[in-house]
Amino acid sequence: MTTYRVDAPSVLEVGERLLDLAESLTLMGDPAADRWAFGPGCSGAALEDLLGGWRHARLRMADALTVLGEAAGTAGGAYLDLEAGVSRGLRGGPTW
Amino acid sequence: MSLGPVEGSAEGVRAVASTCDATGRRLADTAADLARLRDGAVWDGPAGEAFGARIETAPAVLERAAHRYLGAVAPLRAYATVLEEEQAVVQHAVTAHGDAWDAYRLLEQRAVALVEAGATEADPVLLAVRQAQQDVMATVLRAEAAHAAALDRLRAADARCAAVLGALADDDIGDSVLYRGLRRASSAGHGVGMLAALPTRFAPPLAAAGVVGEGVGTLADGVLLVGYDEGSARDVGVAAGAWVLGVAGQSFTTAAKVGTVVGPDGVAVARTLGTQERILMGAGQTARTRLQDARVRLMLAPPTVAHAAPSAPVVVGGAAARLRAAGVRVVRAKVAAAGRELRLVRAGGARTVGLYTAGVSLHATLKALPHVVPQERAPQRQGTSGRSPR
Repeated sequence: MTTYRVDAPSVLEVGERLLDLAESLTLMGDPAADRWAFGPGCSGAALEDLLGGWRHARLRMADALTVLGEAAGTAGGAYLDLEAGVSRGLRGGPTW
Repeated sequence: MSLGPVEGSAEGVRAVASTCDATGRRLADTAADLARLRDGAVWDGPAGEAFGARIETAPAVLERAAHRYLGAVAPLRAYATVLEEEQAVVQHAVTAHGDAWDAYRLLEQRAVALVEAGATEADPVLLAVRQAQQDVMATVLRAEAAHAAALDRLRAADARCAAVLGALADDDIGDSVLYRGLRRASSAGHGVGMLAALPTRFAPPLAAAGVVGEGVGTLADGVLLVGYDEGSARDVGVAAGAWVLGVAGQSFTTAAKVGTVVGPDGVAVARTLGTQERILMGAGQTARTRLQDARVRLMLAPPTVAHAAPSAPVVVGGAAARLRAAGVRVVRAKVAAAGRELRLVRAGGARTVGLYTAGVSLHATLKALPHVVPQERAPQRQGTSGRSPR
């Protein structure tokens, strides 16, 4: 039989990790600031192209991770609602 | 002629390499987590399909991005080593070259003084000065040769590094030429558009150029919005309206785009955020607020056994215990039914992955909650303990 545990704090933690990564991906893409370190030559421009040249995919990924992170938050909240409601219900209180 | 030093910082390149390493590992770890989540869980239903569509391509994109970052580490560090070594050689050559020329000038002043004092070129003292000048000039030439050779080695290392970085950039997540052109047009157009803010009577040609530039930038934004689903229709509309009215649209958009942000490494970076970045940041902040709300609720939610009276006797086999046990069985059965409905057959991979899968599956049970949670209120009982379904 397949079993699984639901741990709301862990779900929220995963959601926060995904949101952190989404934020990092959103704020990435300004490698020109590091170009000075390379001095004259092609490497600085090549690095700028490498790290900054996937902007469209990066922003789409950030969007997807934001949605997944938000889903984790909603799921964690839903579980808390469920847990709290059941707990109250078993004690004879309201179940909302 | 004087020799110049080589610009750049090996430590700076190493710092970039370390950042690439950390970023690449983080991307790769997340890609692996998402791949396990995608491959390890079977989840039928509309919510599962929507979730699957979101997660389907995410690991692949993250893996490619990780490949870019991790692949750059070795060539960057190799280049940093060469840069450091050749900068030292070049600096030594620059110093030797300058010192040699200074010595040559002093010798020349000595020679002039000897000639003015009546010495001839055949004079042994003047001959010694000339010989010393030749020796110094040899030093000058050696320094120039060392400088040139160091620059050649540095150029070769730079070319090798750039070639590897260029090869890494040749993948399927790179921006297309059209996209890059539109981004440049947007950036440059809005930049020139700032000129439109100049009073016309002071600089009429520049103001006119600014209006044209703002129009180009706005047009590029519109194409990005339509073609790449990037940006905001509202922003494009505001900029376009401002452009039509002859007002500097930049004043509407730039103020909102410029800001100082603190990156994940804690470093504050002043940067211009584009519309798409701002939209995503806003969505992320909204989601983060929800997570924080959920955390607050977690802290405030009644603990599962908090209301159980520790000293209350548990009547084994009593009516209260049987009623409570029956309630738990009913709730568990209904939760299990909801789980079967979602067909979360298995959760694979790391613990968090399984937890996440299970947690997300609950998202789809929101509508089922009224059926899962007992509808009737049980009679109030003292010392009744509650248990959550696990």
